[in-house]
Amino acid sequence: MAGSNTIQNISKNIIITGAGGMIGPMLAKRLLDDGHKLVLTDLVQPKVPEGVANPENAKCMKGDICDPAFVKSLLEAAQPLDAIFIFHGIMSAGSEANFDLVSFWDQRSESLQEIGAI
Amino acid sequence: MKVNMGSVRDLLLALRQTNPGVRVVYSSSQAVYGQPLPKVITDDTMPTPEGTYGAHKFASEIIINDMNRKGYVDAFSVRFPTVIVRPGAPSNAAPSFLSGMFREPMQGKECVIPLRDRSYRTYVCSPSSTIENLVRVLHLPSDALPSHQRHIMFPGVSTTIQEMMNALAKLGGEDKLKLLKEETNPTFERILRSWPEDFDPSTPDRLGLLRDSKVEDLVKEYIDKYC
Repeated sequence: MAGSNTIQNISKNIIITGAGGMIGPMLAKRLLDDGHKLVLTDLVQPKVPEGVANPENAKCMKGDICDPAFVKSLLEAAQPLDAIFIFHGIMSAGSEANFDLVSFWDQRSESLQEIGAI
Repeated sequence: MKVNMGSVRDLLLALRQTNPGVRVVYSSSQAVYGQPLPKVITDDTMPTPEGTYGAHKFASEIIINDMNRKGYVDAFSVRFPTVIVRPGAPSNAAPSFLSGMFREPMQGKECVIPLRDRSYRTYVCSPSSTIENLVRVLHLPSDALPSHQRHIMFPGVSTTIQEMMNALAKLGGEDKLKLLKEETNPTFERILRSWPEDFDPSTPDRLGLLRDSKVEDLVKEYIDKYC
């Protein structure tokens, strides 16, 4: 088994990108219940999952992960950073349909459903 | 490419500057695999993606492997099976029916299965095992895998459309099967048949990851939570 209880009980600062998808909110709930501090980010405004133990331990940041200025502010908001879950991305149908994907914003209208966890 | 590769690369490079050696858990996918594939995929099976999504995931994995080897990040790439049963609205993606064939009938709605082959086999896992395994990977020691080889295929169950229909009938009721329509969609069928059927779970087992035991449990998890 990976990790001991001692290691897992230390509160970590963690970012989740694509936090508005399917997996992101479920993972956020678990990590908040475990006592970690989170920064949740997505193109759409992420929400703190309902019924979590420590909702005040989550910061939500709406923004475009393709924008270097936003990435800078995201990383600054999560210091000292311990871990990051990189979950953002366009899903399979959207990727096949648009190879270039100029930016998230160009995809917004047609594929909000597609943007998220995996 | 800008989102699924460019933004991941730029984020990793930014992390290298601000937090060298930080733990990264990157979401990859079984879509990195394409034909030809053995019946059971092992760690030795080379990914040959047949779609842009899988190709860009695999490319990002390679960047992560190299940056991990260099010590710039402390990363694992996790390849997700199809996670079912997804709550929410159906999408127009080829595998959408793998959740829809449970979710829609349980709401009294029809779902189209885009191929007429109940022996069609695919690899799925539950949301709960996915979340548990992500937490376990968060705490996984760096040396659990070689420094240049950081992917982990998340464990799941190999199942057929017939087995999934049986699970729906057993847990949701026989009448729900009437809401499943089998109508061939050649484009979807081509994509679905390029995907893996089963994986050798010995590496995720060795790493202490949780493995679902049967597809019925995935259906029960959804019904208990949402129905």
